[in-house]
Amino acid sequence: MFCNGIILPCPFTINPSAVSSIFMKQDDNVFPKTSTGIAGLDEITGGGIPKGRPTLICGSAGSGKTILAIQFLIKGITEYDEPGVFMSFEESAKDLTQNVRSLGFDLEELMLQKKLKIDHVRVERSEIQETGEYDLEGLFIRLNHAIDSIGAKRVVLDTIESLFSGLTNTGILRSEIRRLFQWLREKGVTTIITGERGDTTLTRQGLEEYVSDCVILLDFRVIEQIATRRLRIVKYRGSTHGTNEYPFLIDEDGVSVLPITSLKLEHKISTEIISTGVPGLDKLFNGGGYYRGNSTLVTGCAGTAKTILAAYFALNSCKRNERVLYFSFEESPDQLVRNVSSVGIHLGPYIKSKMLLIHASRPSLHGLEMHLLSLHKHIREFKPQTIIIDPISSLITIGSKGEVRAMLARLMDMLKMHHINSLFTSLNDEESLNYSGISEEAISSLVDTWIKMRNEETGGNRIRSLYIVKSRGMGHSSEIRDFIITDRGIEIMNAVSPVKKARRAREKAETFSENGTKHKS
Amino acid sequence: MKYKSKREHVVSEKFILQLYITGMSENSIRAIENITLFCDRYLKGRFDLQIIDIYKDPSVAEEQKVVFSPSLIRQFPLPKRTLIGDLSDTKRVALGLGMTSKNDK
Repeated sequence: MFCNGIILPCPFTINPSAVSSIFMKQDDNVFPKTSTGIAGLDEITGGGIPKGRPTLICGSAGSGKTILAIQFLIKGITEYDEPGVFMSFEESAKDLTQNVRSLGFDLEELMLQKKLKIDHVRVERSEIQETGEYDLEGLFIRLNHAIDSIGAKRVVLDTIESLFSGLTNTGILRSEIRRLFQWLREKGVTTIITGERGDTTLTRQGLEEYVSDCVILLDFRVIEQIATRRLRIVKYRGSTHGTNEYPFLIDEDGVSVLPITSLKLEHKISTEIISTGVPGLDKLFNGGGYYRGNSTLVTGCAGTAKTILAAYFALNSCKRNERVLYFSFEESPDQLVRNVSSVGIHLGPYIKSKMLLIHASRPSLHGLEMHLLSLHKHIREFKPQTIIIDPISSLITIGSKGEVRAMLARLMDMLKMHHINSLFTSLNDEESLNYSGISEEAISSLVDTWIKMRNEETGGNRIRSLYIVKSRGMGHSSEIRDFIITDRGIEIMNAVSPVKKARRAREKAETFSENGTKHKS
Repeated sequence: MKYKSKREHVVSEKFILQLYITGMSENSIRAIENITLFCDRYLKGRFDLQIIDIYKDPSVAEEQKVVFSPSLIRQFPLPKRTLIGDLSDTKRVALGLGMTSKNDK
């Protein structure tokens, strides 16, 4: 009894509660985040914006701040069951409802369900007389009341800086806004504050000084007549984040941000072989075709049958009951179907059975990044197992070399991640074997298989031929194979055709005779 | 108090004023003192002043679009006007309520 009383705690004994408290501390360090529900933004930020803290979204007029903010609220309601308060300093609830209806958001319905509350705060300089010291307590009370009345977890203040235009005493306003952000933090609501971009500062009134947790910058620029929206995480305290500028798109589904891919090379691969669609071409690969999830580049000059090869691949995929998404940047769907049916490739039935979707658009319609985004959107919606981009070179003309490479790398990553077979055609400018177009340079190191197609003029004829430049992970023939196109399609000739033999012999003879004459003279 | 004939019909009507305050904050207390003094001095018998604590009734803040505290709203005569601050600047209060300064006394 007495002994028990004097036992001293052993210094080496680990107190379980102490251990758990250490781990708790580590857990606390892991930044809790709130998903924005905006495709791509959560990936860049590693899970969303700081939970229970204010985030500043700044950008010039028309850069998409309000839409991004409202989407954050709506996704919060519909996907995470977190009610939200939208405090608008610019648009009235009615205007706002109308503006976002085009994006498929029904604010009225959400307001009726008491999931969303819109409070329009209007401060008009002409209607207000300042008569002494004041504070923003009225706003605090309104906000507090709105939050409590629906149990809101998310709040948007759009654009609080409008208050400055209504008042002369900005000193009071500044300290009050600082207090407001502190109050929001204490309240534990995840807040998005929007701010108009200033000339030298991120926001006109320097709000970025008060919001120290997370600042996102939206940008809207026009380069060579093509407008691109971009987003950048300027600051994210206590968290890693993507630091690049990411393009984003506002369309009928709201905001989506690139990249959707991670930038790691760790996709799982397949050893399954799929046919190229051209029997003779399959034989040139030791495995008898492409690997599933393979990316193939077909290059060649105009009229070397690149599109036909692409159509073969599409047809074959359809025959396997795998959906194909065909991006055509030069031909309309009807034109494409008609043209390839002339060589015996009938795609029509597969379009009807929705196995094949041809998406045709002009490359100049969007910027490069926008194309990538729209590609991604279509891929996500249609869920194809095979995609064809015909030709990828017309996309390349829109961007600089670096941009093109970055975009293509991202595209490849995305396709690999989803195990999508891909085939890109690329048009070369010159009929030269050594000439390497920008697209080849940009893309050839990214793709797994590269097929070159040519058209040679010999003795009053043009002879079609193709060869495999590379084929990752699979042996392939090194022969240049001639082929012909008939109304039944591509027919690949045997290793060295008699025509070619004769031509080669003739060429040899010519060289000799030339040399011979030179020596004589 | 002499007002020009132009304004007489306005002034002859009652002023309906509402002062929105937030509890017993310094600004709120000063505003109450200032407006009571002002009304007694310049609007004697022609005003109806209501003092509303928006802490006690937050929904009224949204209804009346109160942003700043304290806020004095002239509900009548129309149009509605808002004066913000502790109402210590008598000239501005008079201006805000639609009484030009030379008519003050």
